[in-house]
Order: sequence, then structure tokens, then C-alpha cells
Amino acid sequence: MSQGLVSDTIECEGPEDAVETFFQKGWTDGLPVIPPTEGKVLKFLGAAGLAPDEILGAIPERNRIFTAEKVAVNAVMAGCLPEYFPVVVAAVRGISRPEFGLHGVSASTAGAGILMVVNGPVSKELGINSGQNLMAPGNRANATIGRAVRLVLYNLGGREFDRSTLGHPGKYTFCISEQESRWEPLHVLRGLTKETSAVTLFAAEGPNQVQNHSALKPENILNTIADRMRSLGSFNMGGDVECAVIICPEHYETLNRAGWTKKDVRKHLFEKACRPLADLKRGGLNETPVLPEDEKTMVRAVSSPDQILLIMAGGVAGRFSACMSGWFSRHMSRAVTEPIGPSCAGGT
Amino acid sequence: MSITVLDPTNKPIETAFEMAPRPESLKGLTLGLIDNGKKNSDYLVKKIGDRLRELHGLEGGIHVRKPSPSHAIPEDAAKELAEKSNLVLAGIGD
Repeated sequence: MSQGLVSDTIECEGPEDAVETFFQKGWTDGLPVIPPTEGKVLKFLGAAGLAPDEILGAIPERNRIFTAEKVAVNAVMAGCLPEYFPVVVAAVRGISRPEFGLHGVSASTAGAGILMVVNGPVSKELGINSGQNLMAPGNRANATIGRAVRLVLYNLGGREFDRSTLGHPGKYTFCISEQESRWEPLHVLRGLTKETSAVTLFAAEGPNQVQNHSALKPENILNTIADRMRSLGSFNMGGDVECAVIICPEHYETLNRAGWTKKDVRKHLFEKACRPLADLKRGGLNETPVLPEDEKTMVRAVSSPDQILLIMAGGVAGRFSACMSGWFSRHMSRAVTEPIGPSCAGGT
Repeated sequence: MSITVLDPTNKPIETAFEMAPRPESLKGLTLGLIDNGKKNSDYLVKKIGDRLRELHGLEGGIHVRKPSPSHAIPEDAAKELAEKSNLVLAGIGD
């Protein structure tokens, strides 16, 4: 292999044969892939300014590393354009940070997906969807950037480790962008400048849609969301995890018009997303007897307002927001925010 | 028209290591237990340790609880196990 690439090569009769070969070898996510040729991979590496042998990340518990070359091969397969590759690179760097706990996230029976929230100028430059059909099919950047990360996990991290009981559709791809608004963007709340492009990675359950077409008072919109956040069967009640909350534009308009900031929203959700310990016992999450004091002992969905990743995104019509519980325990996995760009290093 | 494509997979990095010598008997040896921190794992490894001591005459024991099931055992805990135990039991799942 020339140009410094070290991957083994396979001769195929043509693109269709290559696609079928990759299916047979178990190298896809169950959907057809773009055949990764040397020329395409070199374009991707060039777009991110990376040498093929640069190590972008690893899963130390498995002795697995992610080189730029192999990540590029998988990004080509996912259908990315070369200009998307720096986002994939940042995502791979982010999920490889120790606090993300990638080994557990990608192996656990809980079957987390990796939610990617892109902020900053790159969102518009690449056309990453932050609007209608936010988490649904139809937009190349969202679909292929998220898919690339999953293919990296399967082909480089070792798909045999994934022991999800159910998994969820976000494990195919789970990439969104936040809309620009009067609220502070997620990456700014997490310590970066507004001008920086960044991706926030969060090991998440599937999205729980929250509809409230009735409330005109901010508190009531948020109380409905808080009710979903305190669901007995989520890790927000059964553990100590962060929670991602997506506020749709119509809900945002009501909140913003009333002067509510992200800080206010997170504080209210933190205070309301709780339930008495007695509820956990009656609901079967805790099988010890209900004691009188359990009615007054409150269990919170998150341990502080900062544990809520608040994002404004979605279609202009409809009062549907969403929340997503984190994976297992924030002591094992926490959201990370990674700057995007060949010269960027060190996230939050 | 034929095309040449690249293998998207890699393999684990192989690191050389030597297996510890196998004891011929467990009698009088010290058992190390790694509890990975999952629910009831402390209870389970303790029970297994008790049973092994009862059946094979093992003595004492070191119980190490990992701060996180999905991360490797901390280095100081690994050193303690290596220094104070003759064999180690690990591997608890759901």
C-alpha cells in the first residue's frame, strides 16, 4: 500500500461485489457501505490534515487503538464527505477520553447510543441538521457522521464486545446540531468559545418525546418534561447520571419570551425532576419495605442542574421536546465536549 | 471493472506476558478477589471466596473493589494483589 497506508487490501470485481464482500465479512452495520478505496481515504486524511498513523484514540481495556487511517476507512464506508471527517475525528478523540468510559459504554447490556451534538460554525458549513426531523433520516451529514462513529466502534473497537439487550435505533447514527438562539449554546456552557466548533458526546438511551401543546406558562412546559425525566425505569432514577434535554423551538419561544435562560430552565428541571423514595419502592425499583419517612425522602433525576445537557433544536412546528437518560453512572461515563479541527486539542 | 478496497478492521495490540506458575495445591495460599463494583458483586465474590477456602484450604484473602466496572483495576490495587495474594479471582458480569 502506497502513501503510507498500511491496511490490507482486497480485490473485488466491482463496487457491488465490494459491498457484498463487506456484508459477508461482517464489516457493516447491516446497511450497504461505500467501498473504501485508497484515493477516498487519502482525501479524508487530507481534509483533516492527519498522517495515516496518527492515533486518535483507544480502548485500553481491549488493547485497541484508532488510527487516523482506519477511522478514515470507516468514515468513507459510512458515506461521509471528506469535509465531514474533522467532526468524526473530534468525536473519536472525545469518546476515547477516560471520563467517557468507552469500554463500558460500548459493551454494556444497557445498549447506549452515542449522542453527538455539534455546535459552532461548522454546523452551518456542513449543513448538519438542527431543525425539522432532528433525529430522523434524511440529512447526509447527520446520518453519515453518526454512522461513522458506530462503524469505528464495530470494526476497530470490536463488535463482539457489544452485548446490548435491546440497543436502540440511535446506535445506527445519533448526530444532531443545536440551533442558534438567544440561549447560550451547549459548547459555551461547557467552557468553549462561541466561535469554536465542537462536538459533545453523550452515552444515551433512546429519545423520550415529551408533548405539551397546552401549556403557555414556562413552568408547566418544564413540569411535563421533568415528569419524563423521573421515569422509574431510566438510569436517572436507578443511578446517578446526566440527562440530555432537547427543547423544541415552540417550547423555546414560550420560555425565552418569558425571560427564561438555560440556567433558569436547568434549575427548574433539576428541582422538579424528582420523586419520593416511596415511589421507587412502590414501583418495584427498590424492594425494601416502604417506611413513613420514604414519602419525604426525594430522589432526584440528576444530582445538580449542571448534569442537564440542555439543547435547543427541532422543527419550527410542534410542541414536542425530548429527554434522554445517560448510561449507568456518571462515575463510569460523563459527557465530553471536543473541539473540531485539525489543530484543536483538549476539550472539556 | 475491478476495484481495490481497504480492510476497515484492526486487531488488538498484542503484548507479551508470562503466565504465573500454576500452584499444585491451593492449601494455605492467599486468595485475591476482584469485585468489579456492580450490584451484588461484593456479595457474590465473597461467597465464592468463602466456598474456595472451605473446599481447598485457602487462607485469608484480599478483597479489592473496582471504582468502576468498565475501567481497568487501579494500579495500586493491582500491586497490592500481586504482593499479597497467590492467586486472583476476577470476572463478574451481569
